[in-house]
Amino acid sequence: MNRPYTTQTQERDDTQCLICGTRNEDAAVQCIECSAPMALVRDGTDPQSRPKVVTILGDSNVGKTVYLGFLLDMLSQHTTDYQAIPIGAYSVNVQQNVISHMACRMFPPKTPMEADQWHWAYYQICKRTSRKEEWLDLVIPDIAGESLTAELANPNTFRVINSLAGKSAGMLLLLDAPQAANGSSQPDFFGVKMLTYLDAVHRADRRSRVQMPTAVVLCKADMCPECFDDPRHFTEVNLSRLWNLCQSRLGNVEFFACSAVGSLAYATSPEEDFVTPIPLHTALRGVLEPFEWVVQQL
Amino acid sequence: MGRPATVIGGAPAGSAAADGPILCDQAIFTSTHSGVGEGYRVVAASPGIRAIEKVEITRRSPSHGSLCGQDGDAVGLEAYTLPTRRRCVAYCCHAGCEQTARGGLRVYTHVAVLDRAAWGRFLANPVAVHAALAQHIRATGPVLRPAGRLEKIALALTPATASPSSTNGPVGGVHWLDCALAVASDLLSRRQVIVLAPATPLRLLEKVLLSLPLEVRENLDVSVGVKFSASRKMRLVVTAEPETELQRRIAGLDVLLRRLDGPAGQPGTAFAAWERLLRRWWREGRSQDVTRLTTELCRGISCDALDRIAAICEDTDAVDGLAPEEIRSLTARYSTVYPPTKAEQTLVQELLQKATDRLADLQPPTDN
Amino acid sequence: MTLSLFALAKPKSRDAAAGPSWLPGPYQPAEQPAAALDPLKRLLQQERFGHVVRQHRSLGAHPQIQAAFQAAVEAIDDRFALVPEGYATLPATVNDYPGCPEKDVQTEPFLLARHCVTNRQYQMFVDDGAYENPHMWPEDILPHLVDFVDLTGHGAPRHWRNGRHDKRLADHPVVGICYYEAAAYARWAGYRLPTNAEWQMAASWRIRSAAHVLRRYPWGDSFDTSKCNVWASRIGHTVPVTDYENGAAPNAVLQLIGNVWEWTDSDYDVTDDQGRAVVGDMLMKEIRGGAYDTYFPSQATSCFRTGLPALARAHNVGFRCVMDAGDGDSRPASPQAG
Repeated sequence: MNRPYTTQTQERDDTQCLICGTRNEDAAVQCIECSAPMALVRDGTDPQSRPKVVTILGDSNVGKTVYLGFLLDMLSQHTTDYQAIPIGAYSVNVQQNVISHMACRMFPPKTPMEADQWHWAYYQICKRTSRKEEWLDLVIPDIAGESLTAELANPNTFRVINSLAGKSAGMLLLLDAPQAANGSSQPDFFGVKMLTYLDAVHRADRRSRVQMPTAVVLCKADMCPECFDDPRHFTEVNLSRLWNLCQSRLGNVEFFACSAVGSLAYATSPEEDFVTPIPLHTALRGVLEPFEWVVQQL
Repeated sequence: MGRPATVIGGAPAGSAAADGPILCDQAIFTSTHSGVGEGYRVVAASPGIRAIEKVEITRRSPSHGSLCGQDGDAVGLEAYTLPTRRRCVAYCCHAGCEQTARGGLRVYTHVAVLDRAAWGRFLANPVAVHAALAQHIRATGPVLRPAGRLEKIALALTPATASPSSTNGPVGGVHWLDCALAVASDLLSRRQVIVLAPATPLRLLEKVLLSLPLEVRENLDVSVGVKFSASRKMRLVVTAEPETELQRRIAGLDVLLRRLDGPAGQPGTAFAAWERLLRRWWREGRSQDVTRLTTELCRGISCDALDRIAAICEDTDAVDGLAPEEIRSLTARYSTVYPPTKAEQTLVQELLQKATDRLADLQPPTDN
Repeated sequence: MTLSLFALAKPKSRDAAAGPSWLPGPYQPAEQPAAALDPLKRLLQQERFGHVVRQHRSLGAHPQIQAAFQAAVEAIDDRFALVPEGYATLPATVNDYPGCPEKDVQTEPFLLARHCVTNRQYQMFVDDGAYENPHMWPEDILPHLVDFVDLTGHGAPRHWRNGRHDKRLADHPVVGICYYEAAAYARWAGYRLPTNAEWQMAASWRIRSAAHVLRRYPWGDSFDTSKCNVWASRIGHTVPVTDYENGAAPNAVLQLIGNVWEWTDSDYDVTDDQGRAVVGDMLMKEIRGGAYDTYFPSQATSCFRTGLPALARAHNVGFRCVMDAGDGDSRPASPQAG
């Protein structure tokens, strides 16, 4: 019976989600299980090979969205050794969101915890200086830090993260450098939990190490510039638990420092109990290097 | 129907069940900054909340930008069953600026966790629980810097909280009752439904739920005023999002999309008699009869009995307008059937009793 | 007087081999030339021309004072350019939107250095013992002097080693210095830092005339990566201060836009769109002009205002000096006049 103000789906052939493998109807826009966009499958440029997933992980408010937005925008402008082409208009959302906010001296809004609200970027990457052009398809989601934290605390809270961790060909682990430099152990513990989680996902035994290329990125390094002098030394001194775990469990890890904001100020008034951070100007430093290193390892 | 007055959504007035506040476990899910964490998470909970329940609360609760309204007055409701089989009802609202001040409002979710007994005292009506939570939060304000451990919350079950309809604004459109009944039929057919509504129509939700047998609605996962998200896995979502974007996101999902202000449609074939009965009773103001029917009588029955039950109720109501010969014919028909369910047996007995009483009333007086 | 009360911490042992990451090969410390014995000659050798011109009365007894004064004036004439009187409109809010509150500041004529201060020039300030001389610094800054050290713990800009700059960067703008170090150098050399209005006037060339002309960039109104060193220019590091002549202002001042941000003497004092004060962790000084890593072209214009904590020693902030136009008008009397 037709109900005039309802819509109904009809049975069709199904498509397997790129991230979690769940079968979805062909018309599905998002995976019914993990909410990853089904366009990642449909937009694939090479039917014989699937795109590689690179995940950017970090605690809430560490700067994942800003990092990813600037990274993709820099790559898209072809001003570096790498050339990047977005696949699908949705892939431009995160960089548009970041650039439009940062150009107006605002940070982009918080990434919601709901996976169907995340931005996903699907890019084709090529290193222009190599004699032989080799194109690589990369999928990079912008994940909410709180979802990560909840997943680390109780695995399978957000199964999409478990699926991403298992599917990742490379990882960038973002940590709050000023927080660590100020003596907080929170970044250190987050890093340890993250690596331990990945260790479990990849099921590496105690005799072998996780070989997935992992870039440990010290973010907001404009506020503690000694990170740029020697990121390894900074990690060893200020994130010692993470450092030790990296030495023992990761077989392919490198350390970097980066910053996007040149100067940070705060709008404040006595009547309010919060301050609004204002990125006064940009000074991109160390944004490309961690990504380039990971891509080189793939 | 000659039964004691029943407060909508509440226990019968004067009954022991209606006395005293109901103690429940509680938890708060919101975005704060503290020495042990930052961002959206369960920031406080009473000791009775188990870890597995916190995980489910984390998974289901709305985070940044997830309430339909983007002003400070936006309110949402969620009700769902936890893995421990306890029932969770959430009051969602905005509570000031998001704590990182990166734009947008902080979403505050105050959750009450009810065991079966407490849920039963609210007659499985999340709107009543939501109203009780709202009363509590209006009195205390959102708790943004809670102690890590909360005490149990005492929810008041009063006519004010048990009749939340009076606290809601008007629901837009003239056919919303038709929509509510159509949604109820969809839910009885085990469909997942999204209703596009311009405002937060808690009254719409209440109508839908009270049109369902108790055993159907007591485990139904619903949300009102919270944006649709497939990961929340709600059977019924009442939302006010832009339709185009919503259509895009539900493409390929087995979800029915209804518009509250859409044109009234023809009643469907499934549960048509049930819909007809309830539509008439709601319009005649017989909410107590609806509540008794769905809450007390329709226990332990399957959904395919509902149309039969509706037919018995229609015949019962028709008795007052029948001639004596018709009443006798009706009585004869029902005296020969043996209804398969206890609910039908009870209703048939009431029908026969009413028919007998009516015939007695129609008997001309005899002179001595 | 040596700074015994504020003895610097023991120099940290660091790898002395590595130079800047974008320069191949090891660090190449600049040589220290022999200092002239004659104090007047030393002043000229140290390029403290402003000091010679402004302090000539106290040096008047020196037999070479006239020649020195003449040499200093010629050097200033060569290294500085006149910026005529004009005015600058400074938005009072962090975002310059139509109708936002703003302040018009009139500027008097002044002399602006054609180039930013280079590593070579700053080296002379370091070699003169400035970091060990408390009289060079405001009294309230003295406790922070122990933080004004290079990578090896010597009093010097942040990225130097053992108090020496890398000689391959001799003509690059000095960076890794905070506002107080920039101001101290300017005072030592006989100059000062520009105010934000003066800097903006020089970059926008908003002279008083019937036509309200305001240049978005010193060279005109169109952004052009061939005329400045910003992120889009694909350089990725500083360049010599003499580069980008085609991006000069009308008075031949170079690199007001790009290469390095430039300290001004003004506090960064703005509000946001809701009228709330915009503050930093400490006093903020205004910087102007953009740098080699400035991503948005809109942040490398003549009117873009931004700030940095006064004690920040950033990798992309330098400075240039100014003189008041009236300085040095009176020549020294001949020592033989009598």
